[in-house]
Amino acid sequence: MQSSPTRKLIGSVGFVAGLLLVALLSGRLEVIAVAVPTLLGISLALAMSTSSEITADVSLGVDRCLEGDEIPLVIVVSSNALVPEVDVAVIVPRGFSVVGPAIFRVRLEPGESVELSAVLLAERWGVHDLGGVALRAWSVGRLIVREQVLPFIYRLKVFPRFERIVAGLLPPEPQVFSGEYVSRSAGSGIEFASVRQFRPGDEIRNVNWKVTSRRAGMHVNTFHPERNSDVVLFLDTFGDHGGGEDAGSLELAVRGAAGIALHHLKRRDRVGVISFGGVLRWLPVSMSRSHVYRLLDVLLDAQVKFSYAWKGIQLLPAKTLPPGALVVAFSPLVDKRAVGALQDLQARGFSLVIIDTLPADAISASPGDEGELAHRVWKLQRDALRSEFASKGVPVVGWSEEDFLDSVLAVMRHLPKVSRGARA
Amino acid sequence: MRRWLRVIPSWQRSIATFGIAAGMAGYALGLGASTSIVVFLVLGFIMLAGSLVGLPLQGLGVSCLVGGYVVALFGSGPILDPGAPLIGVGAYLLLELVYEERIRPDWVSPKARRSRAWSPSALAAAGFALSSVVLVLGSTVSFSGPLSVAAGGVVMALLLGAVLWATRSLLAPDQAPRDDR
Repeated sequence: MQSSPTRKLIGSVGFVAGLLLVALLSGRLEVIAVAVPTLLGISLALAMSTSSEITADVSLGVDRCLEGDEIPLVIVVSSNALVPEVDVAVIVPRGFSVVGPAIFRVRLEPGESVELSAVLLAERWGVHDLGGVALRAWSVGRLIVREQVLPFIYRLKVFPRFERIVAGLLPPEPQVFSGEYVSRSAGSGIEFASVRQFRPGDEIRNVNWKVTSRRAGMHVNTFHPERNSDVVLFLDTFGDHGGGEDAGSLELAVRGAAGIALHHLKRRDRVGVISFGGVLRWLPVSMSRSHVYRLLDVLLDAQVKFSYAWKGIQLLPAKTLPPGALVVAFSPLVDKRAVGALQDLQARGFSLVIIDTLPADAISASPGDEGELAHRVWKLQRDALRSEFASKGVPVVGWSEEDFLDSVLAVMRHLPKVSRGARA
Repeated sequence: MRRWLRVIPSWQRSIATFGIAAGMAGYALGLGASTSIVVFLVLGFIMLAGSLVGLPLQGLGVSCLVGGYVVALFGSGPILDPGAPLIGVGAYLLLELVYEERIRPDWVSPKARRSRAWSPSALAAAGFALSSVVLVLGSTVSFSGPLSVAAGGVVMALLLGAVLWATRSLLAPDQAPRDDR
């Protein structure tokens, strides 16, 4: 612990020394009598002050939580000697705040442990390392202060607040596994498709007896099979734009992607993630239960990282972009590399949906005529880019924090079917 | 049960500070009123007010108030003033009050609160008693001449030296410095 005298000690000693000097020079006994209480206070306080070793253990009730959750924190402080006053404060990392008391003052008896409870509020998603506990021990009379920071390493995963999605998107091309989407092809299923003539191998239970009685030969009902789909979430992590008091483009992207991922995983779809930015990360499509956690881990790790290493989507493993997958891209459409990658995906024949996480009104014009002009040009360029995507059959919708993602997705729920043969 | 308490709220601290300061000023003015005394007292009040709003004038403010008393004492003649222990206790309590901590805790345990509340009171009572004893004993023994002044100087230097030595020993690092050779 680092010890230092308080201003009180310096001021009191100066006060006493001055009085004693005046008493010596003047020979007045009363001046000494005035100095005596303060001198006694300093002497006794210093005599009672002892060196102590303070320890603190911190434990959290959880190791993962949702954004906006309150996390109970228990701090156990103990000392080998009497410490009349100890201030205990938790060093709160960025993205957290303390609900209720943040600085505690306790008295520590030798060998006694004091348990303190604090509550942290997880304000931002991500993987956070909690910093430590700051201790400030006051000696008797607050003449000496000892300060120490006890580090502890505790990694806490804060998952983003998910966007609740009810309807979501209808993938235009179902895959081979059974799921909840009615395929356009005929097969075994529940949804009625048509009636055709009986062929060898057809099941008797599918015979449509009404039609058979009216026509010459036997007829059977055919059905549409229920299939699942592949959904790939594309996150543009080249930059985090907007923000301020509202969520930035990256934060919106992560929230939205998490919501869409959970929605499709519940529907037995296979979901994958591509985090495309300074660092290229991906997670191949899968539908297992443990895949939810892997997917959330990738989303938690999505952050803006600068890198000179240029990696295009052509480096992605083939399994990451399965043919016929629906690609849902979250992008502010600012970085040319991300825009180029999206154009590449469209050119390869993937069903692509772009959710613009930087609506035009999120960025205000700089003051002055030139700023206004630049802002108008920028908006025109963005409109042109969106029109270019729209002309190629790629819907682009803007999404801000005020809107529900589900209502934004409802605009493009029924996507046009793209040409087959999308290749990774 | 968790209680949201502070040792002494700020407004009560201000009232207590100015109450004690007003008592000391009144006593000094009772001994004798002169321009220099009034100047000392006014300066003391201004500095105490400044210290309450965050200026580092705590010790100077208390010193000015006591300075006013000392000047009044010199003007009152050679008669021994029996109120000196009271002024001493007042000065000690003022020092306790004005050196307010900059960062206040959000929660104070009842034990720490009781400890903090009792220790200055006990020390003030002990200080008053010792100050009175010093005054009574000092009045019975007559010291005069340069030798007694020198002896008094040595005693006082020893007292201050003891305080400084205790402070230094408390500020010594907990661990021995690492030998990097």
